[in-house]
Amino acid sequence: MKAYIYVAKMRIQTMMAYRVHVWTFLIMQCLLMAAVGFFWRAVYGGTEAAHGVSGDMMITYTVVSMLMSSLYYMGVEDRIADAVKSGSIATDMIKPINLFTLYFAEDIGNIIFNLFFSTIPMFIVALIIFGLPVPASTEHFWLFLASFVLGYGINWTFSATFALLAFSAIDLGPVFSIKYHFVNMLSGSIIPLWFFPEWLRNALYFLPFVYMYQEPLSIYIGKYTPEECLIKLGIQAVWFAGLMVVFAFAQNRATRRVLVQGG
Amino acid sequence: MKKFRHYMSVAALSFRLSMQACMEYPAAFVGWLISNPIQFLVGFATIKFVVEEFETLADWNFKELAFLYGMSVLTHGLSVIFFTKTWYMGWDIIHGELDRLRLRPMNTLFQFLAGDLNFYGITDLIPGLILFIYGCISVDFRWTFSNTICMICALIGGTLIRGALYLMFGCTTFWTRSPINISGFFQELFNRTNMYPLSMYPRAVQFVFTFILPMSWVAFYPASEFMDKESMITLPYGMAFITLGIGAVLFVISCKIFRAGFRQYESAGS
Repeated sequence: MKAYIYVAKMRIQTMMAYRVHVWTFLIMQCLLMAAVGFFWRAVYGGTEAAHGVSGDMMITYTVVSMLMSSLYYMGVEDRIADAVKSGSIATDMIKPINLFTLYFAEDIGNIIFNLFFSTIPMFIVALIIFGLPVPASTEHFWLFLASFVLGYGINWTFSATFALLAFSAIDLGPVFSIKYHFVNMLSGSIIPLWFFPEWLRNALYFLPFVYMYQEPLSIYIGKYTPEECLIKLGIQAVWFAGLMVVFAFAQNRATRRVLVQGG
Repeated sequence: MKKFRHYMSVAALSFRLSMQACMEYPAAFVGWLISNPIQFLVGFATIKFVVEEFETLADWNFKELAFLYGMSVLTHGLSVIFFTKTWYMGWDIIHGELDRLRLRPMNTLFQFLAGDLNFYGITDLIPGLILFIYGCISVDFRWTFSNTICMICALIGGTLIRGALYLMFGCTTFWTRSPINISGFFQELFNRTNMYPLSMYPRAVQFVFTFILPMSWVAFYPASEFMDKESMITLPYGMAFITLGIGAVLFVISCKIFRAGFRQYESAGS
């Protein structure tokens, strides 16, 4: 455990070194947040509510979605791809700790770093432009937090499983790009699914993406009653467990492959 | 004239080289050919689903927005072919890659840009063309003589504005000596100012993107003239020519900056 805490701490220090990167990332996220917020404001115009959601709720949805995405930074994806490409995976593997727990500890470091250098500054900017994004009730807020943690788990295991592809392919640039845009669109992180055509929406509820953004956010703005929220949390937990099983199986196969190649 | 023909032949050769290099890894090319259009499909679907629900966005209906988006993505595709080199020029500068340009008897900026015409840009250009044609058909764009001239000017101007801004900010590395990757950042800005009508933003934001960072001239202003829309500046005629003018002026300025930076470029140590 001590080793993992150390890894997370190292990660935070490494991130601190890339100051320009941190600033451009922060400014970009703020711009995106403002643009999408103004988009909803303009699109709602005089409209009172659409699909039971008012303009203000929609702006809250956007702001919280952007804050979530800054914490959902999945370092594991590039980490595995780079490690396999450069061969440093070999040195990672001989460390006396579990390879993927190591990467997870690094991402915990990323979260802590982003919380202070991305999420909180963004929150302040959002406060100035759009006002406080209030949750539907205190109860909803706590349920949202639980849902957010599960959403993180789903997102992480999904990204990690996906990144294992790096063991069998060379250039993953386009594949990651497709994944990025799919997650963006199909998780409801920018546009909530209730605007989608019905067939597409129904199909998407059978994929894990909605449980990363859309469901936690719907809980936050109070689209569900507390009882319904608990059911949603249950479904999230099932997805998380399922993805964990897939990941455990896939990583077992992938790491054996790298041993054959000799790293 | 002879000189011009010589330059063109070099550019053509470079493009052919880039094409061959690209075909060396067909799988990667096909990958980008699938992944890049998806990005625009996502942007497009976003507009479609939401705007169809509410009918208009700051007075623009879906068809007009499709036209706006088509123009924007087409200029993006063109700029990717001609100006991708600028996205990573910071690294070229600190690694001393520009030494070669000094040795050849040709214009340095031309060598720099044409030395790597990006064939991969086709993967951005194809969706751009498709969206552009779709947009033109859906708003029933009239290809009269004057409209065609205006459209060509707007597209050239838009491409130049994009390229010139990339180049200007890429050149900062000549002085700061630390490379910055501006491409993602600027693409996001260009997208946000040309994918939705600029008139939906608060006045201050509109002002910034009209006069200080003239990004919204890439597609928004010319398109709003074609569509007869109210905007911060409403002129009876000639938005497209202003776009071309801004593009040309910015490009000349960025060339000057490049030259000034290149003069004090010192290559990499040892």
